[in-house]
Amino acid sequence: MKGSITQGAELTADLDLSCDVCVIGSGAGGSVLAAGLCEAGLDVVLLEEGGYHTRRDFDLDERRAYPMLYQDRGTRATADLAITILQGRSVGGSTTVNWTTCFRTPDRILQHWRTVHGIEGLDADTLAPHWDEIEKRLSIHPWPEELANPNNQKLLKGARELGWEAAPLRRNVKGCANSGYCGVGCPVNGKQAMHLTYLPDALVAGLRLYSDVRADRIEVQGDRVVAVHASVLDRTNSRPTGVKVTVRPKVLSLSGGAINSPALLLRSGLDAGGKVGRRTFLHPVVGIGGRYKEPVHPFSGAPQSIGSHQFFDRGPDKVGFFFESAPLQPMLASLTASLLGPEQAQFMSQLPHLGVMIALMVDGLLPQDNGGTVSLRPDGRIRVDYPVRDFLTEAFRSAHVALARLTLAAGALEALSLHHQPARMTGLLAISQLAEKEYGAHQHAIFSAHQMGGCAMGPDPDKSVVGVDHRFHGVPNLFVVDGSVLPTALGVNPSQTVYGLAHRARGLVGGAV
Amino acid sequence: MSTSRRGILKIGLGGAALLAAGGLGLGLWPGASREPLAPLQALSPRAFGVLAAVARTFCPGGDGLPSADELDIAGALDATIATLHPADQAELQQVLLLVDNALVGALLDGRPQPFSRADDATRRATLLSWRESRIPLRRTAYKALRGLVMAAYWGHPRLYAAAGYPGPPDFGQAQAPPDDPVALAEEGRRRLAGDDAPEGQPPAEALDPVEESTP
Repeated sequence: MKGSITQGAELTADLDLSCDVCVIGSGAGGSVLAAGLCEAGLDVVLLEEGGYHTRRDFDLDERRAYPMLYQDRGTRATADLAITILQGRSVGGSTTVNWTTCFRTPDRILQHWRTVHGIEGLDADTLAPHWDEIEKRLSIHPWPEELANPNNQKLLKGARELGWEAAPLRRNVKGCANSGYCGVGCPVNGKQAMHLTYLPDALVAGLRLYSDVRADRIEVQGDRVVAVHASVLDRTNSRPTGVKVTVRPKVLSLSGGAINSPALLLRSGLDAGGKVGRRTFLHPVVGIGGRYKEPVHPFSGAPQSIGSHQFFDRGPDKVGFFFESAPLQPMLASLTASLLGPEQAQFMSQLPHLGVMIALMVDGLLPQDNGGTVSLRPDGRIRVDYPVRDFLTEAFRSAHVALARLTLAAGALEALSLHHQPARMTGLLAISQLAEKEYGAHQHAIFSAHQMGGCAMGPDPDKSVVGVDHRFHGVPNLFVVDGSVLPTALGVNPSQTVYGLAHRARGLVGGAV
Repeated sequence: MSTSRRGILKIGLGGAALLAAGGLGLGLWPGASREPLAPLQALSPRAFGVLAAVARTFCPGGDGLPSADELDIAGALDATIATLHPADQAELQQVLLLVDNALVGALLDGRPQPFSRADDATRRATLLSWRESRIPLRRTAYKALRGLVMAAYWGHPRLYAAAGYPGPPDFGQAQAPPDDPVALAEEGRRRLAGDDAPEGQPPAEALDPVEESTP
């Protein structure tokens, strides 16, 4: 193998590296980009702050997996803790822990970017060749309906009863064991995550990959990036070991994902006139539990295989949402409720008969919806704020009603809201209870598994952070290639969009060397 | 600086007075009784005692379930907290001391006392009132402490049975050979060349490991 993987523990003395391109972050964006650059003959160094973990480490124990494979050791959240943020952090980034759902970017979103954000050149035709290649490489294909687990079968059944649109989802898997443990690292190498696909492609073509190395600061002289200053981290607690890595690239691609990429820019004094970190979108998620007579085993079987976009478009003045399912292993399940003591024990004892359907809010499309903000605390830690405004409250409320109808139509004995004092609905009439509930921060569980924006793409430097060519306005050898460039949320799971943008960006970044 | 400018496990220090609701500065109350089983890595003995009382309130056990004390949830959390950012650790410690200083009985039975020394019913009522509090910082503190405790408790293998969970299946992955980038890249080339059509079905024996392992 021409390239190399160096883990933090192997680094005992400071390093000073030169290369054509430095890529920061090994997730969906950085890996696809790095593979293309290496295959084009460029000398690439990739820095990943997370550890290098493979199936040999994936013992599927949630207590180990979340600290090992998620940001902030599994505790990432908005500053008020109202929204729990699940975001990956290891070699492969979120692709190591995502639930494998893949969508091409919806035409409606591309059109919105064109008309509202002035983004030309991103349309179904220009993206098609990128999609084709990615779908082959990552074995993206529809999951057979008959293999959907009971939790997803319920979603399909409910939607059919109500005459709502629902369809099998596409997944990036090959040799999937249908175990249901995508979120804690695939134990059978079925999920075609970056550490099994584009990173090996890059490595055989010469990539130098460093894990456990965090980029602290980008050094800019004049209008050029001249260096990246990075620290080796102790994998057990993410603290610097004292060993420093300096990379002096001709071109830098920041691919740390939404939240971390804007934060690194802010740490480096590159705030693009206050726009960096703004317009951060989370696809805020609310859920409704369903208690069924027969076992559902929500901890088992591919987590997501059926989806519905029935309410994707709710008109020009409303936030749309889409439906999927969530897997429930006990630790994650315990966090979906707000109960304590015997009530919590009672809730958890029903787990085998519990299904949960989720609604993901499509944020960032309304003119007044600027989503949340990434900023830095005085001690340098990342801060995410996400105010729940009235249009989102309305969407949460409508989504609860729709989810309750779906759950009951799927045959649940009872639909349960995830409020502090859950609405318990045994029939359609009982859904009226939801009208009396409050919605928003600290009223019910809210999660985010999709982080987007913070370095918005657009042609106008006054309104965006990077150009349509991913180039940071005003710093010609700095590119941002990850989910942070998305000018709005996507209305679909974002991984494939990030693969696609990175695939398209290969030539743009490589051409700048 | 507004109360939300600084973090305490993302809770602002500026909110300390609100959180304590007048109890601030009563740090001389006698500490809680629970002793750590192992040397503490992150928390002070006093903060540990408060965390143990919080854990006991969230997860009292009974009805065949172990209590948080039996599983030493506070000890496990001390080890977890030691791996967090030092500023997060300091702020979490502060939250715990503020919880204890909140004079929890004052509104209930007129006998102010530290949280960690209150009886079960008072501790439970206190946490529930924080969950519903009009003071955002109290709701945030509830969520932070609940999340830590519930994750450690319900993630514990001793609770698998209570949740009807068979536990994770074993695919022999720990003994699998290391990933081979050369072979993986070669397979990728075959796929791109169209010599390797996507699968339709997983192997039948892999379909439902839960059914096989359910007792």
